[in-house]
Amino acid sequence: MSKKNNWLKRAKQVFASSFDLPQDVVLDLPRITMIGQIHIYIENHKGILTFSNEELRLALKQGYLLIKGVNFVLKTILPEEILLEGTIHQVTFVEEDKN
Amino acid sequence: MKNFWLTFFEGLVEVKMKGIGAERFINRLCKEGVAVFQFKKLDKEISTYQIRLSNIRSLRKIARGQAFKFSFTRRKGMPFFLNKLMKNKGLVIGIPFFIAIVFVLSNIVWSIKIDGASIETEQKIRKQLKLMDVRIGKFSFNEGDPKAIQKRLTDEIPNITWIGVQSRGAVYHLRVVEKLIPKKEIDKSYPMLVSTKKAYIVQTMIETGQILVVKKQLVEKGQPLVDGYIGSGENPKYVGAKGIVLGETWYQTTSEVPLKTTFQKLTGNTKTKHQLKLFNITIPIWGFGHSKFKEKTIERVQTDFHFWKWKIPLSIVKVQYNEAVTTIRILTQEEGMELAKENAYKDLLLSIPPDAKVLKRNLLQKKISSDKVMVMMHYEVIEDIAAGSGDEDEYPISDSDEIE
Repeated sequence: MSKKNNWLKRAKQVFASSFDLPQDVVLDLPRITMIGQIHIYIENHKGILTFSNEELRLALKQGYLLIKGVNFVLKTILPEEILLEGTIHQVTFVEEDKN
Repeated sequence: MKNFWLTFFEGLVEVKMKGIGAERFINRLCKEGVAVFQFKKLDKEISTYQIRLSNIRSLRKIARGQAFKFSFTRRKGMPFFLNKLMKNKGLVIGIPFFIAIVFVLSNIVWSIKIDGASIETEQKIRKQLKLMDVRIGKFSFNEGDPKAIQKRLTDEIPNITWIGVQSRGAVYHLRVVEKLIPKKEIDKSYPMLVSTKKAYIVQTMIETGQILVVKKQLVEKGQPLVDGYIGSGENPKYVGAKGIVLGETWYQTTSEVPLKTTFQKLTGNTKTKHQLKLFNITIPIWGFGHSKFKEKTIERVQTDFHFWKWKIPLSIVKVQYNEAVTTIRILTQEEGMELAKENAYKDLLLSIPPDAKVLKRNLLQKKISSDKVMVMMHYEVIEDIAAGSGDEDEYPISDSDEIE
């Protein structure tokens, strides 16, 4: 990641915190809501990478989100939001450069 | 999150897709604005998902040139349901038809029950009901207002004191209280006849028994008139007292007539409005605008509709505005006197038995003030003053014969 991008990111963070704005709006971050183990609701994603019964990879602005569990069903898929149902065991943020 | 229950009305289609890279295809769909529901992977190649019926075109467009195999496995939602329904036309027509029939039948008079009336009175009531067009098989909302029926029946049939009309869905239930017309006691014998009031004896017509009073004798209330036993001594013979004793009695009535009366008179001009009432909302269906009457009386008749035996919150209300004119009646003192005397006489007739004779009427007292006239009238009346005393059954003739 370039130095310029880092600088921009920091500027946005400062902007968000000083004006008391929700960080996800300004920084284009995903907003994730979980209901126990059974539901996970992700807004602001960038598309599905892979999906199977046990795993969902969701593209984010940087890296991807890895959700593992069993009996996965994608209840709703809309351009910016997604609702996953099943038994969720783990949610991991994976940085892209590592892969 | 948005609610997607509305999709049920739009209709959903389940798609089964075979091919590698279903995720990319789903992403494409999303970008085109196609919402995807229930996305499931059955194995590496096969996945199923649901889309809206209206999105099928977009799906076809995106699928063009792609190496996927599609099949539509399920259809659900309103449009498909309706389609299915249209195949069963009988049901579609039958259900509303059935409801309509039940509704019509619920509002028909099925039976008229009359309780508490003698056979003659019941016949009279049924005849009157027929005249009023309330009969079995008629729609109850034509002439259905129980209060109106109640009023007309009490007006038209003389020997009922009170009638209660209830409409329970399709059944009219009439409860009648008849005026008790006392049986002629002349046919009955009693151990003793006593006087019902203070009177001068005018005439005695005795069939059996021993007369205890003479003509022109003044008797007090409760005084014995005729004895059921004849013969004095230790063994009187019981024959029973039976007969009529006419006595002269006195009545006083007072009557007051105001000289100036205001009352409302109906001119006969009416305006009728019909309204449909659903819960508490009234919708005018006939007769609009305001009545231009300055003074009016309002009559309101509400007819309820029934379904099965339940009252449904739908009714028809007929509102009738009757134009009224307030008139002031001013009487002279003489006219007032006449009217007061007349009223007093009417009052008297109500309180004496129907077979009594009025002998004389005298003005006892009159008071005339600036606004009213008061009279006190005295009447001499001849009536039967004899009343049975003691129960006949306690002194049966056969028993007393044995005693003898």
